[in-house]
Amino acid sequence: MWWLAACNEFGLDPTDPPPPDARVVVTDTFEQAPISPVDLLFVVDDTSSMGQEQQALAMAFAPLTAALPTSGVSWQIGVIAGTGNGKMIGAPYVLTESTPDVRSVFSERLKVGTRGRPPEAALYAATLALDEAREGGANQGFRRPDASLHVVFVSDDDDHSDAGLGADPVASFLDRLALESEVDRAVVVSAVAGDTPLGCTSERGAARPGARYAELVDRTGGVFESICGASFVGLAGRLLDVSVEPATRFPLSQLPEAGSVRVVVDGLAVDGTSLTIEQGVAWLVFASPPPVGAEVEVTYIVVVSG
Amino acid sequence: MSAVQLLDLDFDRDDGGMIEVGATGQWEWGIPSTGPATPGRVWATRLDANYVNDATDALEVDLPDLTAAVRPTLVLDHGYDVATNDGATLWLWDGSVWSLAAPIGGYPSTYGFTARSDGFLTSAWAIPSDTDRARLVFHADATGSAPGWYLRALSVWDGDVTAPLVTPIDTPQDTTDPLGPYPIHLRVTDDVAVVSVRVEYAWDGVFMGSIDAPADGSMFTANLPGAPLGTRVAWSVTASDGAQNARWPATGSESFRVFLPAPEHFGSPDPRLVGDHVHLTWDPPATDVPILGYRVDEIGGDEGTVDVESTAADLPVSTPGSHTWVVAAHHAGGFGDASPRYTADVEVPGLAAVLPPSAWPGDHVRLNVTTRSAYLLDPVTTVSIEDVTVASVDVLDVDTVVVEINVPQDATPGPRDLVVNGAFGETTFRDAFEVSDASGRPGVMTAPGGVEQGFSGTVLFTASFAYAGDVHVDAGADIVVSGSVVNDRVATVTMTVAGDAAPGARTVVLDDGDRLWTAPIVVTERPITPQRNCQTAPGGSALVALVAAMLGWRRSSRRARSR
Repeated sequence: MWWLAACNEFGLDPTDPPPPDARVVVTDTFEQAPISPVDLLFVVDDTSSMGQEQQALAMAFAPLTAALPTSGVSWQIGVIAGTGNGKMIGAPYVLTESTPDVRSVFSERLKVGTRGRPPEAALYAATLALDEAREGGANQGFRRPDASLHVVFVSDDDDHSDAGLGADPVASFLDRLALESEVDRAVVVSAVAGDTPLGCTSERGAARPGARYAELVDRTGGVFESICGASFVGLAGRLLDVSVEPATRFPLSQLPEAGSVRVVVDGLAVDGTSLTIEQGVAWLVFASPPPVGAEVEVTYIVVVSG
Repeated sequence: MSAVQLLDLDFDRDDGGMIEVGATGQWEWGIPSTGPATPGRVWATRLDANYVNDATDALEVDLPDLTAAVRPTLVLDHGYDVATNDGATLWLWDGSVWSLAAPIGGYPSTYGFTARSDGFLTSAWAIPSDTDRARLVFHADATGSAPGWYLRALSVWDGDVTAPLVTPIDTPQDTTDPLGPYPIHLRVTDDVAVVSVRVEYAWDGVFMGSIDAPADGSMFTANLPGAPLGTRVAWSVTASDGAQNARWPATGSESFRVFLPAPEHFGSPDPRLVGDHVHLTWDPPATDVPILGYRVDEIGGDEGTVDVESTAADLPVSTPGSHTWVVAAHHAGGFGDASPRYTADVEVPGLAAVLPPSAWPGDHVRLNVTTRSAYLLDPVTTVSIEDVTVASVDVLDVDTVVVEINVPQDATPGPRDLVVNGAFGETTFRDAFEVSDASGRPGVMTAPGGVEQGFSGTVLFTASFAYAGDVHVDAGADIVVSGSVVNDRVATVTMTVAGDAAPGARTVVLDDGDRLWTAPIVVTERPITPQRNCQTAPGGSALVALVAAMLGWRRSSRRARSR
């Protein structure tokens, strides 16, 4: 049993002197929101070998726009060409749940064409796209201050961004992504690319190993799908799963007294939480996120100087 | 001097008495199925097949006595389609030796008539008076074959039967120079002296005159005068040797334009075209002609034209999608050439929905505003409505914003414009929101008049119409709301009033997601005997609530990532 020890006083007599250190019980209540907003950036190889893959992937990704609204997430989607300058394709260039006929618009937009001129510098193109998403850029509005970011690369070749990103494009791109993960926003990279280390072949053609994409996926916890996969069944669902990670951190309204925190989720006391203080704000951190819709009640004692 | 015909051989009429000479005997007389099209009979190096390789065959004809002729001329009506390195030539016999004779203007190649003629043509030879026989020789080497040589007629004349041959050397091309002159350089040759070369010209189909082309040897130059910008100048040449005239081109005329160049680098400098206007820029045309201004036209659109004096214009756009424009410079004589078309997709901000679309005076509501291409952007986006207070703006995505508004009690009923600032500027949506007549305003019809300090229990708030959903209740400091149940128009709220809650009137706010319902409530004093207490108590929510009520609870409730 958890016990609360308190020595306190109360009364309405204004002549009573104030206590030297009042100890106040505070309860913060949160509801685990379904998901955080997510901005999805699709980087699609537009070189000549990609015609059939684009057609198949357009069909495979289409369910994503159908599934996203039902997931409760607030989402935005932008599409760029892997050999392009990072400027998002189409009008409107940011797709949302409000975009008319968004499912077919998204499918068509993934067919970026096959006139791109190698090298396929997708990491560099994605970097440019994120730079252009800043205020005043060609992609402004795509990135929201409170949204996580999910970058999805689609290619039958590996990345060749050395000219734009230097000797270690993966490290450079991760550095760039770090700028997007400020204010506790998740950043995930997924890829539909050639299997590593040998590449792959299918009736749509051959693919070189997408080693850089695989490394990024591994480093960020995304989804890797072989571009030689037969039909990409379930691809949209797996992308959705990693796009809609529930919150694990909750900001408390006060700084708790050490050891006084008690956490109840949907009426049941839970363990396995920790407390971290960042810039004067106490955050309750769960090892695994509470279920969507759960009520999280955090009770703790605050010492108030008299 | 008029010409007199001395020999007339029409091979459609008969074979002319031509004599075959050669090894293969491939000359045939009749109607051909190969070679240049002709309806009648001809002499041909095989009528229905390509000529024979590695052979030399000839047709000979005796000529009339030419010793009295002043200017004997042999004229051949013929056509040919001859492979490379093969050729057709005319040879003349003077009684002792055969000599190769070149036609006036020369053979097209060193092999004679080679390659393909443009149908049938007339060639003429000035021949010596002592000529008494002519031989038409066709030679083929061992490789390559073609239809061959076709002869329709052969005649001999005394006198000038050949017109001058006009060959253009350098002719005017389209030009931006309105001053001129525009020189035409020609070579004119004939078997006799060329008497005159004149050039006729017209501006936009209107005949303007003719000018002489003075000679410099066989070269003639005519200088056409300058023409206004925007003029098409047509011209033709007539050359005469006194007896025969030649026209070039044979039919019709040559022409060139005098024009003002188009403006350059026409397009938009903006990376995105979003808005009800598109900013277009261009560079002036490369010309010394004074430019008075520019005209921008939309191709296939209904936005009309825009005239400006500078090299930039803002073009109105009312419909989203692909738009195409051109620009032309304006000079004293009219408009210059239009620029290459500039086509771009334009996004025009629009309003999809405002929910609720109206509110009553005194209301405190959240408007869910859905736009198209407004590119709402946190923290750029602001929203304003005339005569209405905007309390907060929450951008959900580039298309959606939730706006919390307070409509003043004295707001005048009627439509309101909604002004939204997005990433690409401000957009006004006309009559997008309405303030309704106050007489129908919803509200909380019944509420508890007062609650005592220390009260703990349930109270009812009955609205004038059904709540939109579960309500979140804020009763202010020192009143803890621990639950609420909504049943249509009735909200049952469980609350605990701190013992030291401030007495007096306050407002309870019930938030059903769409509307913030407000109800007055009064906290009344309850005399309590002061006492001191120091205890150790078991934990648990009930105990916490008890202790907290005693201490004066602070309870905050927030949604984590509540979108």
